[in-house]
Amino acid sequence: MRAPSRAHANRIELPDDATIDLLAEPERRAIAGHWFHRASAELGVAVAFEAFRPRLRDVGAADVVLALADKAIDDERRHGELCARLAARYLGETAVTVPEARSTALPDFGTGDEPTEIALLALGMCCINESVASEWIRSCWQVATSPAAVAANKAHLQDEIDHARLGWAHLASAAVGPVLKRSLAAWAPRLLRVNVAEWKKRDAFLPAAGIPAHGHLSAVEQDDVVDAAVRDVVLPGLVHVGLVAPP
Amino acid sequence: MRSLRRSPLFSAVVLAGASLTSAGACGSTESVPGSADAASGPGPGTDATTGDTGQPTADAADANEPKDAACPPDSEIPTPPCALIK
Repeated sequence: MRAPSRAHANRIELPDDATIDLLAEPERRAIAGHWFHRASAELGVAVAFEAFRPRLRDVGAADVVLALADKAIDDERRHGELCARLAARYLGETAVTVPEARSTALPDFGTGDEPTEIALLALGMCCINESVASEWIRSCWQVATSPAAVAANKAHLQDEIDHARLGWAHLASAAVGPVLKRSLAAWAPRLLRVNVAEWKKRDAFLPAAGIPAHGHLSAVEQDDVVDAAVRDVVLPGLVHVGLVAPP
Repeated sequence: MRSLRRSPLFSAVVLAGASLTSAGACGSTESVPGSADAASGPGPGTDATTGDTGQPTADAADANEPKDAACPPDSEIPTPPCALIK
C-alpha cells in the first residue's frame, strides 16, 4: 500500500452524496471493494500506457496519437486516485489509501514484428477495450442517481472516449499500411472474441443484481452492454478502418 | 446490403478518432470534435441504439474472418489490459 494520496493537479471533485449513507453496510462494503480493486486496475493501465507510448513513437505513430497516449497516462493515474477516494467514501473513511498498481505488462503477440505488435496493442487495448469501456461507463452513468456515481462516471467517460480514439486514430493513420491491415484483419475477430470473454467475467465484489442507483449494472445488463458495444461501436469501427469487410 | 447498427458513441469514438489521422488533422487533441463534452451528448435516458436503422449482425466478425489467418488459436491470444476487465 502507498501512503495516503496527495492532491492531484487535475483532481476530479466529488459532490456530497447523502445516498451513500442510506445504503446497507454490505452494499457499501461491496461498492468500496469494487472501487478499491478498480483503483489498482486504473493505475496498472497507466503503467501500460507508459510502456506503450515510447513504442508508439518508435514505429512512427502520428503526433496526435502520441498526445493521446500522454493524456491517457495522466488520465489513468487520476482515475486511480478517484477510485481510491470513492472506496474511502463508501467505507465512511476520511483517509484515502491508494493501492499499488495492478501488474499489467503489455502482452506479446509473438509476431516478431514491432509495427504489428503495436497495431495489435492499439486494436486490443484501445479500439476494443476502451471502446467497450466507453459504452459500459456510459450505461453506468445513465442508470446512476447517486450524485457521486454520476460525477465519477461522467468524468471517466470523457477520458475513456479519448483512450479509444487513440486506437482508431492509429489504425487509420499512415503508420498502418495495407499490408499491415491485412495482417490485423486476421487477428481482429479472434482478439475481439478473447476480449469479450474477459469482459463477461463476473465482478468479484458486486451482487449479480447490481446496485444501479450507484452506477453498477446487473450481470445481465453488463453482458448486454458488452454485446451492444461490440455490435454498435467496435464492429462498425473495424469496417470503417478497413479491417473487416462491410456486411 | 446490411448495415451495422451504430451507437451514439460510434461517431464520438471511431469517426472522431480516425479523423485525427486520416483527414489531415493538425495533431492536437483539441481538434477532436466533442472531445471535452462527449459525455454530455447522449444524455441519461437516451436509447443508445436508436440512431440507426441497421440490423444487428452478431456474427459479423466470424463472417468476415480471413481463412488464412496467420495467428494462434484463441487460447493463445493474450488480452491487453483494461481497468474494467475483472
